[in-house]
Amino acid sequence: MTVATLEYIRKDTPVHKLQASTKLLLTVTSLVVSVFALDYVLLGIWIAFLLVWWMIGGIELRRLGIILKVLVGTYLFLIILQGFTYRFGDTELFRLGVLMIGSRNYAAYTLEGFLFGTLIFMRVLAVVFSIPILTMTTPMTKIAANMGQMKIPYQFTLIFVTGMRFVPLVFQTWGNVMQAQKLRGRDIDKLPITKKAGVYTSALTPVLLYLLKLSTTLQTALECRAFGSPTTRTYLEETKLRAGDYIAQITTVALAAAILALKFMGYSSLHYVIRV
Amino acid sequence: MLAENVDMSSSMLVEIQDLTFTYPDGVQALKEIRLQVSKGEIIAVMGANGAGKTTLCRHLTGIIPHVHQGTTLGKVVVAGMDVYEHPVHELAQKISFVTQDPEGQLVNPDVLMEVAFGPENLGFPRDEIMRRAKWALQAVGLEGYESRSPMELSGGQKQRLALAAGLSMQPELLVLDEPTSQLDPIGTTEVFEVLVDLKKRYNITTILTTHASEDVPSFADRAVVLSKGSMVAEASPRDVFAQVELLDSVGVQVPQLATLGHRIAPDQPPPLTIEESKKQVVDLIEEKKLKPGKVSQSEYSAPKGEVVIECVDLTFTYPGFPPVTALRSINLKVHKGEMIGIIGQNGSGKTTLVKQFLKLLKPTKGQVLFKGKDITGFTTGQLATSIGLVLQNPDEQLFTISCREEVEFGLRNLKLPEDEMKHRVDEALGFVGLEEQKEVFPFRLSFGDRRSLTVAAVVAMRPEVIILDEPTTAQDYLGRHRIAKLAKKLNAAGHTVIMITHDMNLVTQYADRTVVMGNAEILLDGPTGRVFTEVETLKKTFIKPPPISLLAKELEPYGVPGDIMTVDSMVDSLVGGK
Repeated sequence: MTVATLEYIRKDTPVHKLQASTKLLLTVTSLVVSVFALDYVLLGIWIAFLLVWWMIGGIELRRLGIILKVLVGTYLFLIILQGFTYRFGDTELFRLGVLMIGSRNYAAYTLEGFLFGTLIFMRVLAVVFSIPILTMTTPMTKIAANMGQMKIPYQFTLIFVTGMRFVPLVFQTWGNVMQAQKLRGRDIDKLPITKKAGVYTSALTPVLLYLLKLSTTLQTALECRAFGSPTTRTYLEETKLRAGDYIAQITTVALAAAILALKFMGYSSLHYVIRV
Repeated sequence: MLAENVDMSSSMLVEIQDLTFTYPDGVQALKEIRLQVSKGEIIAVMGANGAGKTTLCRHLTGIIPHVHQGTTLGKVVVAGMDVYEHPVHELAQKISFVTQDPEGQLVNPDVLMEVAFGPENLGFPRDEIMRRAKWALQAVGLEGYESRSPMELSGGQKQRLALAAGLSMQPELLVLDEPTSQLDPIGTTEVFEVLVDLKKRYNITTILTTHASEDVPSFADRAVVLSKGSMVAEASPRDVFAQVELLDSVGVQVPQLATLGHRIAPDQPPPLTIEESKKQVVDLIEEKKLKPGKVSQSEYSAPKGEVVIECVDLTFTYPGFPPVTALRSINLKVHKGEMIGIIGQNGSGKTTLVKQFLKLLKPTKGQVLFKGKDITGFTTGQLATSIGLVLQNPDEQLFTISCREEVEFGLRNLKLPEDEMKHRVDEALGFVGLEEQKEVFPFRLSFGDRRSLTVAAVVAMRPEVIILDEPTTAQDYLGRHRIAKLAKKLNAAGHTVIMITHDMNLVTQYADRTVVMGNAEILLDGPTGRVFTEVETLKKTFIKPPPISLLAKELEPYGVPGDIMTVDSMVDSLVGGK
């Protein structure tokens, strides 16, 4: 997934106006739902709920395509793995041969395994789809200010924010180093995997040295801009919750509670096909 | 010559007493520096790479000793505070420091927060922070960029942002380490104008290091010249630039007009503006001491050789939200044996264009041909054996443990025999003056030398086309000319050379043909002499011709050819032509 896909985009939507803490709550709740409500219908409801947030937040649905494209490998991995290994798989769709371990043929691909792999993938989506709602509609400054409001020491907040800032820089530096090797006639794309590993290793040195140098510059820059000053810091961003935040938080928690209640009361949409 | 009597008035802000500093590796970076700076002064510190400029800045801001250590003798007092006795965050309330690498200084997610970061740390009220942020962004021409990520900005814009972040602290002393090294010419002038404005409106004192000698007289009250850690000159810019031999010997560029003055009237004070220079020349003409005539400029004839690189209706858009078009319908032919300069404002598409030649970026529309063949059939590695590209940042282009291995890297990919490799390594390192550093770890070299090493590594591969992307950034005067001369030498040996640069003196001196880019398009393309007469078009892309070209235009009515671009040609013309 390209980093740019998840980067903040300035817009004037109701979701953009919410505080970061409201959207952080949504992300955390998504994680809880995905862990405790492993069910097609329940996860489907939650994913639909997230997509409503997407629409209100003006996040283009084409980004959904980008995310799905990136996750297609994960999906294939899950359905292949589960298809051959799901322990409750009875309905054989095809077999590659015979690989008996105990009473189970691990070369046989089952319908139940396929469905369970799909269910696990839905769990992944329920978390992944919540991330752009936070990152694409909230500037990092708001996130930092909210962390300040939560009394998280500013040093930790700055580490978080600069970390986020440095992640794309690491990728960019890495890309530039690889580019420089190509510019000296090294056909990296045509190299066998074993030799590619050597290329990647040699690229590590300049990346690390560059980042070390950058971190010294960063330290200088921070100190020179009074970071660490004993004065009480001002946060430019307002962090006060408004009516919209309360509505969004109540809706999120209420839906999550309903889904979890259903799950704990024994609801299961596909219990006749697979056992979870 | 050292200024012996410095004004010791009560308005003194900086006092450096016999400062000597040695880094832990034994390098003595400063030797017995004595300097006093009064409130509201602007001091330009000049010197070759390694002269001690950055070390001096670090002392003024307390970075030495609080971040970098070493052995110090002497004392530095700024705004009444001994920098050794106060922590940096305390000094930062009165001193702002902008380092020469903008990338590492920008830590916030958007431009507004970057500028607000310092005042936030100092606990100012929100209204005051907003006022300062707006003012600082306006001062550097970045208003309207508030919500942009610093990562999205061009190199020059990042440099402006770093400067704005320093300005928003509204310090008593602003210390700037080469703040314009990546800016286009008009952007550079604008930054210096900001400093003068700050001085007038807020009495802010500035000490900055710079290689931009041409601009120094326009903003500096005093110039200080360092050489190998010692202060070898300190006076008004006019007095410093009168010492042409001294400056030549320590690798500091003398402005073109001062050089001209020294050549035609060495006994007079050096002229520093077009008006002064024009008056001096006209007076000498009227006194019959000069007699302008025509000069035989190197004749430029339309290229006739084989077309090596051709762009056909080339358009490129960076994908993103929103997408940014960096090249729009570019049509360009590069002929074998040409020496081309590509100029244009920051972000005009110069680097994007040359990256297309090697398939580092793929066209959104149109095509790139190498010797008539569409490059889509080649890999970057294959193209690189014929087209050598040296990118801007040397630190991302060095990946071995010695200078020798660095140059050998490309040669091994060409599968050359060992003896041929050895010959080429020696030759290439000799070209850039690094023959003595053959076994040195590249990252131990100075920035300028690291850049030279990347040039050597590409030159050794002897590609047909050599492209140098901003080879002069952070290079001193001698380093710039050494690389440009190398490029010219390669060109004379039959290589096609393309050079992207913001140094107009180099372009006018070395490039036969100049391509001017602006707003993702080619605005001008032709003989360098003719291109630099299009002053209004150049302005659109933040380019200003070198002073000698502007002077030539002014002197046209007196018989001086209006397309003169170098001091040598001007002198030739004024002594009767040849």
